[in-house]
Amino acid sequence: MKLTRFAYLFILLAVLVPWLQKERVFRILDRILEAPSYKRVIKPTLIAFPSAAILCYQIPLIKTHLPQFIWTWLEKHVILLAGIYLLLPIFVGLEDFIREKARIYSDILPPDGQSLLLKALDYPVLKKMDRFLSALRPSKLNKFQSAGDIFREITQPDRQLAEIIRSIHNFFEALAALQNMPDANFRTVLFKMARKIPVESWCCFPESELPVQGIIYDKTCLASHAVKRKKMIIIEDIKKEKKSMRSRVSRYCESEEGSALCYPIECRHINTIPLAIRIVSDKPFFKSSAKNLYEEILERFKYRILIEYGLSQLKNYTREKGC
Amino acid sequence: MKKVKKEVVKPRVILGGSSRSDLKKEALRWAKEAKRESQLWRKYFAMSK
Repeated sequence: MKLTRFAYLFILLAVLVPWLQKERVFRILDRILEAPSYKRVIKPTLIAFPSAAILCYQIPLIKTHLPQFIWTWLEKHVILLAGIYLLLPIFVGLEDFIREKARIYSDILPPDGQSLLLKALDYPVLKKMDRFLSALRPSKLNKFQSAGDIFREITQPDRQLAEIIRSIHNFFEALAALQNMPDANFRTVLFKMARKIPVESWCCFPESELPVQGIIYDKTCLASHAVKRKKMIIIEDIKKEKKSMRSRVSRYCESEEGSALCYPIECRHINTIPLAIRIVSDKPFFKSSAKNLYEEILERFKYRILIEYGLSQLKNYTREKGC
Repeated sequence: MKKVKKEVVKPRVILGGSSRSDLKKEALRWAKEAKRESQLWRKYFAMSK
């Protein structure tokens, strides 16, 4: 009879789990594990229950004060105590497994991810600091003829912008490593956009893997789609996307597989989208469910990118005017 | 069969020292440091509670 009940439960789970999707199941289980009631009451009780029960059973003073039905029930189900003892290590292992899995699907940046974000934001600042402070060296100071010379030496917005993109690339590589996906390889490109199409590749990482020529001026590429929509686009499965009738992946990116993200960088002050970041991972790393998280992360970089972009444009303007 | 070489776009800026292995090494170092730092933060918050 009990076996049939287990069989029913098993069938129910087998039906429910694919319906709920493993992503959701792990997230729900993780939420249960993180609940204070579980952490403070259920888990300690489960751990302490077998030893406490045996201890109480051995001490006559406690045994006589507790209702008799507890002891009759325990004597009847003594196998349960042994079972809990045996299952505890398995249970702890299962808990770790759920936590690890849930982290992959999480739409919240874990604490180590937050430290990583700080590191990624610091990295371009350190590069800028190096440039500023190395200009103070007497050998360099003597060479400066005017304030313009100093300004040109310390502000290199095109380069600084590339440093920010390198930092974004490293951030996602490191985040993948933290999410147990160290084999995921990323490719990051910053496109300069004009009339909603990419007109130039500003920088790309790794620098040994340059984007194909065809992607420039391609109206059907991911960057063009993201800029037209003025929203971030996430493609969870590039192969599947390519097969669809309304594919948003450029036909020039035929060898690409895995997942991709494209983030348009809008400048409200001039009411245009001058840049778009395209990040491709060869593994299914980017998830639509974590869209808000990616937006939160990239927004931090967006402000820094726009400052450097603005400076670059102003520098070009002054150069053209001959200032 | 002769392999057709694809034309590539040269980016505006090339920083150098950003090959796949360089970036991977750097990212793994970042991940390691971030893990250690977050543990320190956790310890700090646990102590200040």
